[in-house]
Formats: sequence, structure tokens, C-alpha cells
Amino acid sequence: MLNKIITLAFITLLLGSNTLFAEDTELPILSGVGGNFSAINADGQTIEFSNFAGNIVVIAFGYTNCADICPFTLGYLKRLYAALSLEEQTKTKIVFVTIDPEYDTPGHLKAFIGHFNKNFIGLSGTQEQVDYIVSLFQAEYNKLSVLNIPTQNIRRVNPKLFANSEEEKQDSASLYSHSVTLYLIDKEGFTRSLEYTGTPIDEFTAKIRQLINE
Amino acid sequence: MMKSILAIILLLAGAVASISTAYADVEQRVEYTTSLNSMASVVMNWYGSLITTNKDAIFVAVDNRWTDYRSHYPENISQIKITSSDLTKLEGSSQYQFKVASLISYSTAEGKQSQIINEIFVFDVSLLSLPVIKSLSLEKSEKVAAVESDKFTSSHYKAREFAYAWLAYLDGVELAPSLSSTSWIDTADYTLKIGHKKIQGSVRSIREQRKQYLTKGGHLLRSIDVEKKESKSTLLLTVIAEWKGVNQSGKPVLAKIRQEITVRVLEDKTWKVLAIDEQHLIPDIAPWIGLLC
Repeated sequence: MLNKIITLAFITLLLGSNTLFAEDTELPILSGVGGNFSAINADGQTIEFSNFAGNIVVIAFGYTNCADICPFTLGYLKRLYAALSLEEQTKTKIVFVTIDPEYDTPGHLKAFIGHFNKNFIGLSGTQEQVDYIVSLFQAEYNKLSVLNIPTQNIRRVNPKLFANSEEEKQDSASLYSHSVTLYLIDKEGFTRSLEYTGTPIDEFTAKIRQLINE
Repeated sequence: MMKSILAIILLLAGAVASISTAYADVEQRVEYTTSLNSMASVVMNWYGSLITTNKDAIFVAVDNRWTDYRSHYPENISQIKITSSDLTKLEGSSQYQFKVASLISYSTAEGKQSQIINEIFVFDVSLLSLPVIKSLSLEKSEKVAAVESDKFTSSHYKAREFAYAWLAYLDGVELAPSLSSTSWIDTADYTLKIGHKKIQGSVRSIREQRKQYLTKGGHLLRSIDVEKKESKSTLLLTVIAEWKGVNQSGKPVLAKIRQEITVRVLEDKTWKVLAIDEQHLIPDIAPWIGLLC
């Protein structure tokens, strides 16, 4: 019997060395990407990102006035979240950080995010807080008006009504281009993978499960 | 009862296998990168010191035992372009073979000339010590049509010799003579920014503190850019390196490292580093990284 145990242990040792640390399944800590920060949640309370410790977090950057990519990203995140079991969902937080805190008040953000999933978390803050979070994750955003990109014909999820043409012109300053990266963060707050809406859902959920089971 | 023991032993065996494999991978990475960086630094010093025309950098003197070998190079070399290199470990030994092919441009009374030289350096390398050239052999030497360039000068090699030696030092290899000549290791300011953490101090102290994040692994040089500042005696080197390894908890870590190194070129053309600013960037793990919509 002992011989069998030793043989099996040896086989496991060999198998382990070939499979457990295969290059394609390893999710290294991405040094310098992310970190702790303060923000305002949808209830208007200040939170620390470290409060999410123990959970897997997926962070996306965007804004509610976004013409295309943000609703698409949140739709993708909705499908991603739905592909997790209920138990996995309780261990996974989907966080949407606005890059337009002036327009995206906590209440506004809550209503927008709620269209996709009530468990999703919208984070806002002062411009300074938001810029700090963006810099921590080395994301980027730019006002389209600064880039001289015409914005008047861009369709929106939340159409705005304008009293006059001047107001409409000023509004062009509220549209942005921004990073599309989705940051997968482990229970200790380390960024472990960078994804986007092109990542197959089953591939992304497998990574989430891998981090849950660590 | 027996089944439980079996399950526990299998679990333990799996865990031991995982850890031992991860560490074996890391050990391999450490050996490869430290050897590569320290040997590459010696090779850069070798070629840089051959350039005598428009010499704008100073190099550590090459051991006298290679004087005869170096006589096969032409005189008045102005440029050396390394066209290919190949590093392999010689089986069953602590020796590495570095094959280098280069295109050497030089001047004679007849005008500009060029020559292809293929040669093999064999290094004796013991981990964390400076490598020693064990043997050299000339594989090919052939005159070709003259090639003009102003890129591969002595300063080109100086920057690379410095960068490789510096990365080797960060990985724990002893200080190369080129880094210790002006004692800047004891005086330069080193600022390290990783996410929300920012620490500042001497080179030795930051190198130690850095180990809690980048504990065991190695740097690979990805690019180096040299910019002359307004004061011609000051250079700004931008070094991009990749680090792979494990942190102090044994978790795998990947870092894309950007270092801005401010260097004062002294009157005798030796380099004195004034400051190092290091930041860890998003690694280039997918083509869409940095994409804005």
C-alpha cells in the first residue's frame, strides 16, 4: 500500500510540475498597476478600495454620458457576472469608476449602473480623487473637445435636452475618449490581469474562478 | 483512514511540486538574466573600447591577455554595428558562449572601409559574480563595401554597457568596475514609484526595499534612449526593462520598469549618476493596451 501511495505521490509531483504553473494559466501580479484609493460610493459615502479586500474586483473606467463603449462594456460585464455562480457573484465586485465626476454624481451613477445590474458598484469622487485613481491604474481619458472631435451627432444612452445652441456647444466639452481596459484584481488588491470586451466570457470567468480559489 | 492519508499525501505532493517548479523557473530566470546582463555589459565594454575615432566615452581597460587577439581589429574604428548575437549555455559547465556578428567601420589612408567580423566569446560565469572571458575565437573576418552611419559610436556602447551592468547590479550581481568608478552608488538619489507606494533614498537602500516587491527574478533590457540635456555634460537615460519573478510571498510578478537616470559626464568622460526615477508601467501584454475609445 505504501508503495502505491509513494507511486501516486510521485505521479502527482510530475503532473504538478507540468500543469500547475503552465505559462498560459499563470496570472502574475502586474507590478505598479493599481493600489489603494479613496472614492465616493453611490450612497455618497467615502470608501477605501482596500474595503474590497477578500473579494475579486473587476474595475472599468467610463462615464454615463458615454456614447458607445461604456454601455457596451457594462453590457459585457453584465454577461460576465451572469456567467458566474451565485456563490462566485458574492465574491466578485464589478466596479465602474467615472471619469466625469462633475456630471456623474453618486445618485446619477447609481441609476445608470442599476440599469445593468443592481450589484454593480459605481464610484465617483472629486476630480482630484478620480484623476488619482486613473493615474494609479495608468488609465487615460481626454475631453473630445480638446481633441477637436465634433460631438454633436454622437448618440447617447441618456439624451440631453438643450435650451439653446450655446448650451449644446458647451456640452461637447462633456464627451470623452478613455481607456477600455478591464482590470482584474485579486483578494489582496493586486492587479492580476488586463482584459477588454473582446475577451471571451468563459476565459474571463475562468480567471475570476482561479483567483477566487487561490 | 488510508484514503485520507493518501489524499493528504497527494495534496502535499501537488503543493510541493507547484512550489518547487515555480522556484525552479525563477532560479532559471535569475541565472539567465544575471548572466546575460553581466556578460552583455562586458561585451558592450569590449566593442565600445575598440572605437577610437570621435571617442566620446571612456571604458574600463580590457585585460592585457586579450591584447594579441584585439590586434585583428582594424585601427581608427569609428562605428561598430552588432548585426546579430546569440547566447547559449554550454552543457555541463558554468560557461556561456556569446556569438557576436558585427560590422566595423574604420578609416584608412584610402578612405572609409568596413569589415564583417564574427567571433565567439566564452564566459565563465558564477552567479552574482562578474563574468570572466575564458576564451575568444574569430570565426570570420571579411572586408565589405564601406557603410556609413553615425549611430553606433562609443557613446552608444557606453549607454548599453552602463544599462546592462546596472540591471545586473539591481538583480544582485556585484558592482561592475564601470559603476563604481565615481562612487555615485553612495550619493545618487533613487526614487521608486510602484502604484500608490513611493519611496526615496540611496541606491543601496532602495535596492534593498525594492526586494519586498521584486524579490527573486531578473531584469531584461527592452530599450534605452539617451538624451543630451541643455547642459551638454548632463545626460538623461530612459531605460525600459521587464522584470519577471516572484515577490516575498512567492507570488509571480511581472513588471514593466521605466527608469529615468540623470547622468553627469565628468571632465575625464566618466559617468556620475545623479538621480534615478523608477516607475512601474502597464506591461505590454496585449495589443489593445493603451487603446482609447
